[in-house]
Amino acid sequence: MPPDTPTTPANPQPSTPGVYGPPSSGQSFSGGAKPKNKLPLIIAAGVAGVFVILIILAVVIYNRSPSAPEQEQQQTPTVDPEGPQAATPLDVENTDNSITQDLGSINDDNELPADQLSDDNLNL
Amino acid sequence: MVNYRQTMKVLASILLTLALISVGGSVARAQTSPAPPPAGSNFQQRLAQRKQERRIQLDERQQRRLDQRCTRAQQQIRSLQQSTAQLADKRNRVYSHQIDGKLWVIIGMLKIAGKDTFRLEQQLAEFATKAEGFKTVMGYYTQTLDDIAVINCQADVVGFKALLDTARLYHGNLRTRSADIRSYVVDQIKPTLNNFAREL
Repeated sequence: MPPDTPTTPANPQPSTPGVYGPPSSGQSFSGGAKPKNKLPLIIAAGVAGVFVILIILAVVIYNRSPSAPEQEQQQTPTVDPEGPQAATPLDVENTDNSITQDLGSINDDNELPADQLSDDNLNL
Repeated sequence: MVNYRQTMKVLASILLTLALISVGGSVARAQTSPAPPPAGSNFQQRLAQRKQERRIQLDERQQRRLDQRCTRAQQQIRSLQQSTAQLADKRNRVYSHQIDGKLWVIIGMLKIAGKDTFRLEQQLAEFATKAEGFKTVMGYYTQTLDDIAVINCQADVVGFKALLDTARLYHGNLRTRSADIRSYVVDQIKPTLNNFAREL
């Protein structure tokens, strides 16, 4: 009588434990993968975090930038002691006096005397 | 008798008028403003131009006198060249930088004050034109002095006299222009400034 050929058992036991066997970590096993449940939470947390960061940045930038009235003040210079200013009566008077002094520095009788090239002056 | 006297008076007045016209004409020709020398002209060209303009005629006595004295006169002209160059610089500084610059500044300030500065700007432009005219004639004058300084006056007494007469005319022109500029500033520009001072 030939020896019994080992037959394949009807219900083969898998070699990988935990796949078909009872759960080993104590988690409830509802029939789906664990990462699929956590993924929406992770995404939502990430998006919320990004929003929080953007809000913080916006607040910081807003606080650092000058306010609107200050901006207008910066764009329209009002008083610049170095630049030209509106004329006052004193400015006009000073200009008038200064021009008078300039004319006074010119003396035709000394600088361009009428007889400068005369025969007498040149001994001709 | 009365008619004769009246006729003689009329004839005398006519003759006198004719005499005055002829004298005046010759004086006018002698004092005709020299023409500007051509740009880039050399000494010979300017000398020929002045001789042709002035038409100098010297008798023997005048020629001898100038021949004996022209060299010393040239030395005086050479010392005059340096003072004239300083004068040209000074007038250019006063007219075209000091007065002109101050008027531009006050025009700008008056504009900021909301004043109509059109008239003052017109006057400034006229002043600048006069100042430029003075500068141009000063250039001709200094050029003529340079020509007098280099001419061989004893070899060309007529040329020396023509250049000297030309320099004298330019000199008179400069005095006239300088006085005109002064009058314009005093009589035109300063009253305008005074009006602005009252309005402000």
